[in-house]
Amino acid sequence: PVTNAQFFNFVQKHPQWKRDQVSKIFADEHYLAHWQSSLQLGPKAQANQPVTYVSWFAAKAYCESLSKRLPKEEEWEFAASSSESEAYAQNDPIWKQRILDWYAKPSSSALPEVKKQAPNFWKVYDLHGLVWEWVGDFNSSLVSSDSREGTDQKTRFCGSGGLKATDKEDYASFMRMAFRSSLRANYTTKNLGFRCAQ
Amino acid sequence: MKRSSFSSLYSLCLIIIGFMGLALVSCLGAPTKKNESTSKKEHEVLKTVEVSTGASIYALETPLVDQESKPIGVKIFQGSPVLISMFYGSCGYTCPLLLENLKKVDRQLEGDLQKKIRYLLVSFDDVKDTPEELKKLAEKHQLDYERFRLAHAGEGGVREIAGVLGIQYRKTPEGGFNHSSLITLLNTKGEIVAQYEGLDAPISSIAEKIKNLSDVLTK
Repeated sequence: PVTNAQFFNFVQKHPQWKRDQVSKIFADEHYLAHWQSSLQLGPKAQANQPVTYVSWFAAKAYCESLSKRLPKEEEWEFAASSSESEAYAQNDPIWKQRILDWYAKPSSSALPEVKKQAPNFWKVYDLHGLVWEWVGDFNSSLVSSDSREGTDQKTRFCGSGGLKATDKEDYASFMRMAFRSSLRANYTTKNLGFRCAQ
Repeated sequence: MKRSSFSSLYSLCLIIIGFMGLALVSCLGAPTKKNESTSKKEHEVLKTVEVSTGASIYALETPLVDQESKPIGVKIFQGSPVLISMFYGSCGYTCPLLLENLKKVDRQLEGDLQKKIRYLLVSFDDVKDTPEELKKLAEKHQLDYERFRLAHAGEGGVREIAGVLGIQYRKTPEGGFNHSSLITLLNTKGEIVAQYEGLDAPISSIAEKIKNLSDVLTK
């Protein structure tokens, strides 16, 4: 994922993304909250930690400034289906459990730095075990609450297709999907960072 | 090589994933399969969403083209109260319904107020809903150009506008869209004042809200 240092460079070059400049439409009031000031990292934002407290708009702008883009959910999930040793690790219960264990951990300790874990089969680092990540089409899933409640369920969504999961036991993916569905484009949170794709 | 568990993302099957309670309903209003999740009530995703606080969405510079092939911005109706939503032309059921609801609101507004209100509808479909297509739609629904704009945005622009409005959508392999329907009311400065479910829209409440927009009354 993109680090504090990298994002700092971006903000320096594009001051409209300073936390005291940006519209609330693009980033909420917690944007870069962990930085000491709008142009200072400070002790709570180590250079090589993944940048967090960034919104989708901010992440998108960063990627576009490098002529890149946010990954599609499909791309992200594909890359994330591999473990260190296997291209497709969804049949590895130990690997799956490790991810779920990480999700179960409360995030009270400091964020580790990037690239400290072993990379996956595709040599991509930190898709698991570090931060949740924005994707380009984060708002592409229609998740409803318990569909037994109330008739308004019928009119909420227009859909002529459906999602089919080939692996109904990939709980981690479902968790990520639910998480993404709860996001709005200007949200920023402590554990949400991003990376770019080309 | 096996692909990720989302490789069959766009299958035509309506399958409810019981664990997380994902549900997608057909456009034609076919009954949903009930999920088997616990009865724990989750926060409803599409309730009135606070997508911004006091900030104007006109900060967005997304380029749009309207039904007369005129390049416009999201802020085309700055200075007027605006009802903004998203739709697509080949949508069979919910989009016409959404449009009909907007017209119902319009009919409840009288004289001066009706003259002041504006409607901006951005299409999800950057491929099929060209300005020419949008013009046909506008004619079909008898939408007067001065007050109603149907807009084409590029693929990235669609995602941005949906992001700002809190609308979820996904393109299906058949070229349609699964999407939520949310009507957003903007004040004359483009700040989000309220949001409403688009299909079960509370017509009278929306009309009332528009009438009570203080910046409209003082103009």
